[in-house]
This record gives sequence, C-alpha cells and structure tokens, in this order.
Amino acid sequence: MSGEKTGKVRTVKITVQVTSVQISNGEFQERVKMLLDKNREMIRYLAKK
Amino acid sequence: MLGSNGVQVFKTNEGLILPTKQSLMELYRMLTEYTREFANTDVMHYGLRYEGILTMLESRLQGKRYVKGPLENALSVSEELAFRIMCEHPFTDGNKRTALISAFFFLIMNLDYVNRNTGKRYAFLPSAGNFDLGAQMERAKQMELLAAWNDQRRTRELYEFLTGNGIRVRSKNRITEDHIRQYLRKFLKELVVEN
Repeated sequence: MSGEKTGKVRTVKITVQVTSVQISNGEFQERVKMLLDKNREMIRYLAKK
Repeated sequence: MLGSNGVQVFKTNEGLILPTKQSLMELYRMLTEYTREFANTDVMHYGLRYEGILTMLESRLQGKRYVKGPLENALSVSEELAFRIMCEHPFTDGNKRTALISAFFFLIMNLDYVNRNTGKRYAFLPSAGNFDLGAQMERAKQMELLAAWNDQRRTRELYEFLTGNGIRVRSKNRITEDHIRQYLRKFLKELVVEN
C-alpha cells in the first residue's frame, strides 16, 4: 500500500432524555376501563385458566 | 396507588410515552378489580411478587435507543412490556392478562406520537371496537401458548405455531427469546391499522 491512512473511531453514545409527565387519574382510569371493556372476553378467558 | 396529581409516565423528547412502575401497578390494580366481576378467584391472592422486576423494566425501557421509525419505537415499548411481564412474572397472578393489557395500553397511548410523527392515521383494533369475540379468543390462546415457552411446556405446539406464522426456528428444542419477541411484535403490529 502506498501511504497510510489513519483514522479514529468515535463512539457516540445516544441517551434517551425523558421527562416525567402526569396523566390525570380520571383520564387514566377512563382509558383503562374502555380498553378492559373492549377486551373483556380475552381477559375472561385468561382469568379462568 | 393513584397519586394525588395523577399517574406518572415518562415521555421522551420526541413524545414517546414510557411506563413507570406506578402506572403498571395501577393498571394491574384496575385489571384485578375488573377480573373480580367474573372470575371465581380470590382477589386477596393478587399482588406484587417482586417489585425489582418492575423497577428493572422501567429502567430498561428508559435505557433503550429509540432510533427506529415512530411505529417501530411504539411497538418496541409494548413488546418489551408484554415479554417481560409474561416471562418474569412481577405479579403473584394475572401476569398474562397484565402483559397483554399493558402492551395494548401503551400502544394506544403512543398512537398520537406515531400519527404526529408519520403524518398518517393509525388506529389500534382492540380499542377501535373492531376486536370481536373470535379475535379476542384467538389472541388470548396465542398469549397462553407463548407464555408456555418460559416453562418449557408445549414446545412442539409452540414450534409449529411459530414456524406456521413465519418465524424461523430450527427445531422445537431451539426456541429462543428472540423467536418469542419476533412473534409478539408481529402480533402487536397486526393490530395497528392505517385508516
């Protein structure tokens, strides 16, 4: 080979920045309840196993 | 378990929502109460088996690199939830139910993030009212079969199921975590439809 190539390996660490947010109790419960109602038979099946 | 200010979750800069231990325990509590309506089980039996599993799950989700597309990122959160709760059993009972419902819940919570960042309109079938009885039973049975992997049960049946659904597994004795995760992701992705 003619000449030399030099290089540096650079490691970039990607960190995920998160912030804490609050879902109101009412909204959380409403969303969960709706999901449970729409999946009632699936939950019932798994509960009886 | 409800906080005075509400239920805490985490949000990344891009808007991806990640569960906290508190939010998962509240989901579990509500699911347990709901199950009480029709299951002949002793609700006093329900509780946290090992809190450390939820702590680890919370930090594992925060430590992930969400560098794929928005839908893939949202699916990744729900797949992790479903897999860890199903296999590591943080609760004394109802882990399969909680695995599914928490995966569903956070996929729904993340649809706004997905739609905002893709400019598309995705909907999630189990919350859109198009998840009929047959579809629910099918998913419940699949979850039961996937959960059997952890105890090395029903391996032939699981092997045939996975290979029949396009997951490449060499033999029934070589079903790995990755195979189960691949199917869970496929399972969840099939429930997200573009309107």
